[in-house]
Amino acid sequence: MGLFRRNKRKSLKEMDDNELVALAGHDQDAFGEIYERYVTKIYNYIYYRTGNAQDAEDITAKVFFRAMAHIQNYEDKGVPFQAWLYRIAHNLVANFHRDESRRKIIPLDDYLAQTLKTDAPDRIAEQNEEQAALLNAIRRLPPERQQLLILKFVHDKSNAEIGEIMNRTEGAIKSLYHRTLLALRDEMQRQDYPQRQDTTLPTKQRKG
Amino acid sequence: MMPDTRMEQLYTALTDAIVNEASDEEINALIESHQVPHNREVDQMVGLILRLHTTLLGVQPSPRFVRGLRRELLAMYEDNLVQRIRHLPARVQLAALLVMVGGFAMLFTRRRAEATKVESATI
Repeated sequence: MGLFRRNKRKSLKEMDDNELVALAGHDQDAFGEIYERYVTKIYNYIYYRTGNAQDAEDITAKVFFRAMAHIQNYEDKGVPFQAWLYRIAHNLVANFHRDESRRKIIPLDDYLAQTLKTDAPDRIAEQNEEQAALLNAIRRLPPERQQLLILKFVHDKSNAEIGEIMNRTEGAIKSLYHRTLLALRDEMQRQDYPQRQDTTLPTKQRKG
Repeated sequence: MMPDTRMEQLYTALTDAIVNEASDEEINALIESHQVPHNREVDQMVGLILRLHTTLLGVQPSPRFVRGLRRELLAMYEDNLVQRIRHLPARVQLAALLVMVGGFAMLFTRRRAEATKVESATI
């Protein structure tokens, strides 16, 4: 039924989030499209908040099961759908850290194994050490600051978009970002990792 | 010490530039355009932003996980539809049941009437 109506209009891929969400309550293909659109983003967010792939997979699954159970209750009250989804992820990560508070050290092996595969071995060791220090410093920040850094650097989101997700104004995000950088710099200095003085851009190793 | 708002703007602009792969020259020009002295603190922040940019990389979940979760979700989706019907108010469930029974009864009586008509025609 819905299938025929949809063919006359546009395909799921062409629909925006709100159109998909309106269908997703009774159309599993629409929910499948939402899943495809967000699974990697949500996984990345959780991955950096938890520090390992296994937990990231478990919590990502919980996010989508919860989203599926409640998608009919979602109403666009000025909060974009992706913000709603990130908030589910944020709450589940918070629960995870509460439950796992006994676990003091977050493994970074998965992360380090996935990055810097193409560098020379001596440089890998040095960069791994630096990156581990930076990631540890990030994980010591309050959750909202971690969230901000992940959204900015991993998801390339603008301050306005981050504001929508975190329910703050663009100006507040700008200010929070500044404070986060200062806190991170101080934390790195405490760890005896002074920032480089040069501003030479490193070779890009970004995702595609 | 520079006013916070100016530094906030500078670091946001620097981050956008670095994320978009700006060159050294472009970064220097950006710092100058914000009328901020190119001092040690600014250099430290540029270094930190660069490191964040090269450390916080996008990671890909395993394709097997993505496929498996999709399969599980869609299987659960069908169960959910049944669950949702179960959770409908009793009045709605009763109305749906009556409509179904009425529909079947109508079909049955129509079939029966047609069969009787055919029977009487053959006699």
